[in-house]
Amino acid sequence: MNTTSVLRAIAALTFGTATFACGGSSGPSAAFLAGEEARRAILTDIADSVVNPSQAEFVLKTESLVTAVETLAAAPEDAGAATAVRAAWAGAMDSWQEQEVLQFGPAGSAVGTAGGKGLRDRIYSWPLTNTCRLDQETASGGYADATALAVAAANVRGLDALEYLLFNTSLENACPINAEINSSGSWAALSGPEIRTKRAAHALALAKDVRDSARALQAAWTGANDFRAEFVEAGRHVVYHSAQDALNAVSNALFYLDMEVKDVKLGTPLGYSNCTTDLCPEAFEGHLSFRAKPNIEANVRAFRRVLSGADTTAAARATPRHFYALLTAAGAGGLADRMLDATDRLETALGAITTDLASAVFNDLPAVEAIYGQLKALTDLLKTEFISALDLELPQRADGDND
Amino acid sequence: MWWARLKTAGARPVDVASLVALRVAFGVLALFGAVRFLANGWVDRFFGIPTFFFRYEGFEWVPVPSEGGITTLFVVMAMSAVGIIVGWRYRLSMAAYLVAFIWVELIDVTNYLNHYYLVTLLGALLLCLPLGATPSSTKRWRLTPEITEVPAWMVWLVRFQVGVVYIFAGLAKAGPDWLIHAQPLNLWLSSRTDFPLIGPLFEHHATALIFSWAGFLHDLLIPLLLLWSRTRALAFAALVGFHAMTHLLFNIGMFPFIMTAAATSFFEPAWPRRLLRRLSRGAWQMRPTAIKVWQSPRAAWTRTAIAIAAIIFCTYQVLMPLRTHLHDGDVLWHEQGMRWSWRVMVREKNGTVTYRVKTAESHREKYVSPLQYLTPHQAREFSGQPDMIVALGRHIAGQWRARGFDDVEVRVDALASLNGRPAIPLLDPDADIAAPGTRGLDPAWIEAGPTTAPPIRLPIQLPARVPRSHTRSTGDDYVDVTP
Repeated sequence: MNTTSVLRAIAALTFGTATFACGGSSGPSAAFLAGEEARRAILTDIADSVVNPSQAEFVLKTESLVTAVETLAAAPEDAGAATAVRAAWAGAMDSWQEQEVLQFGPAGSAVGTAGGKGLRDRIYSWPLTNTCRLDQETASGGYADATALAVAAANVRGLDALEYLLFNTSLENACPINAEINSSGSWAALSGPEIRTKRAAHALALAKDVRDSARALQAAWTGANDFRAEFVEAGRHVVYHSAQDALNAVSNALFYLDMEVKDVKLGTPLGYSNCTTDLCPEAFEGHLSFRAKPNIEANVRAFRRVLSGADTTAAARATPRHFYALLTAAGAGGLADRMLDATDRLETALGAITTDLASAVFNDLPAVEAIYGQLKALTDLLKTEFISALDLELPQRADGDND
Repeated sequence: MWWARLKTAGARPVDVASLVALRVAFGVLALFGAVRFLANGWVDRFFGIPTFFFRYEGFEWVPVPSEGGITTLFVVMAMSAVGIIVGWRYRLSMAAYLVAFIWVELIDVTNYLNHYYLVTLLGALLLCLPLGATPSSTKRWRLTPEITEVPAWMVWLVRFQVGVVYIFAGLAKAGPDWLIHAQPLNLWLSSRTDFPLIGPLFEHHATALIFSWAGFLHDLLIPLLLLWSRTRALAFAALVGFHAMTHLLFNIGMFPFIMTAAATSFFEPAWPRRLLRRLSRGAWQMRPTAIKVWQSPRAAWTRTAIAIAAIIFCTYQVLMPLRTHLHDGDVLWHEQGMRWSWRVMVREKNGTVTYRVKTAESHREKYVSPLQYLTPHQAREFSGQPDMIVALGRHIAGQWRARGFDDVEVRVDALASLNGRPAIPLLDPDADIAAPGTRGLDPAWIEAGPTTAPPIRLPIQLPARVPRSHTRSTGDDYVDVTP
């Protein structure tokens, strides 16, 4: 017991008497959970019904991806193998995009996330992909060095790097003219089939690395380190001070929809930030695979699952779970419903677009802007009423004092 | 007649010991505060990382030092604090501390805290009092107070300062949100159910209501109860308990410690000597070797100037928190007159701000996130404060104009939720807040505040068994989720 705990206990003993006298018993009936236990129940449900199944699914998808890339590596000129490997990559990406919204614990940054091990960046580091470095590695064959790959920077590994290797049909490289692979002529010396062969081999090394990271993430939650125990028993171990603290970590992860999806995945291509022209469609996530929209849909799907424990609003209302249950139990059921309604409207706005987003910004800009508008409406609720109702802190707020 | 009696009572010499004790406590807290700021890496977070600072109106000229410069200012604060503790070169030390402290505080409004303001006022007051120490004539290592007795009015001024803080903090709570709906305490307490022993009670509205009334009565009555000798000890014990609870429950930094230290000024002025004598069982007599009474200046004009300065100081203290009444509406909503008014921990306000920028060159409005300019800490602090929202909007307009855009119009979608209410617009979304000819915040842009009562946060009770995931299985079988 640390000093603060001792002080808390003394203060509680000294000043709690009157409250006890007036407050009466607070013990819930055996059929119900209250306070910290209720929060731990929610955390348990999130861990077991969202996090663990997502991780298990992603491991399977990465294993399928490795199998598909092995086939391609064996026959780099086989168009069917190339198609199959792209489908496998899309499946893995779909699965991972759900986990983008689950960046708490080991998936989170090693700096600034409780229990974080930085595994997300090993699996997917968009938008930090360094395509020139990837081409250099392809040309040099450096990818074959498993030891070097294990400690490679995040921007030359992961699903984003794989996208470049698997979907880029150009035989040019992404480096400036004065880069070594161009000035030395090493890239120019490669024939088309050689480039495709090397890219497939490079992709295989990266796919295996992604699979290993997926397994590492799953093991971090269920293996010897057992982050799940830390999470579902928050307040009894070291990572989280309380169940509320762990709940805040999950809430922080939900803000992915605001800071990443709204501001980066949509805000930049729509020319709202980091764009010097009116529109920057090249900034859409997955612009080679044209998967910007499915990625956002997967993000929203995971958001909904964490929020309500269900895939549809009807199911969520039928059996309240997760944050939806917490809000409803706390008397903020109206807010919970408005958040679900806002999620519905967001999904409808996404569904209204039938092409990829990079095309849609030219063909139907208002429809893409409508997605942004619906995202804003949902994240406005998140940033105001949601954190108020559950007394949660905004993510990345620097430590410091109040008042 | 009463004036003559007041003058006589005010001129009565009293032991300087309580003020010296306060000086030492102030120095210790100042030292701790500066070291804590450096140790936590907050120089980088609050001054190194931000690229935009909200400046106080009229103080835009205050230079923003580099990160190294800020670190140096904190080192100056720490070194000065040592001088304040020991009393050597006291006024120089206090002046250096205040210059460094105020300089840092004036850099960014988002760093404003009520207790920083209190440190400034209390420091300025202590600076004016003769609380220095000089080396003993016989033992050079030993510092003794330059003055052993001061006129009572000096102690009164300190008590007045402390009393003002409590009374205005109490008055700030005298509203329906606090006293009837127990908000925001209901929201805050309900998330702290892990608190030892009584944590489970925190979810109940009744607990928040009791705490709300206790806090209100504490703040309002504590100065009076401290003034009366019969209730003083009990009142101080309650005060210590109150601040211990606020320290343990809320992240309010040094405030509880500063207030507790400052409240000791209400004790009889010789209390430190008596306490030390009692603690040492008489071994330390703690009597001053020689009585050195503070002499008021001989020149009448100097005495008059001191009296006028004291009156101005006290008048300022009273009027400053009241200035908000020049504005209609709820200060917790429009925030005009919120700073420097001791409205401590009385609102839970969460806002979201998005700017909409339109230029002559573009056919559409562009959304601009404040996070392009602010750190998350700054964004959190500014999002409920209209003057800062407008300040950043004007900065954004300036940036766009500098990039060559003409006819830049900036509008803002600013929503805020006050004490758990539904979020509503804080500023007029149609107002061009950066239009040529406008200067800062126009109060007309502030939308009417909420008219509904804040919600009551109910105790959370969940069924011990919840259905297995809808997302991964079609079955509706139930699973025990008790960890």
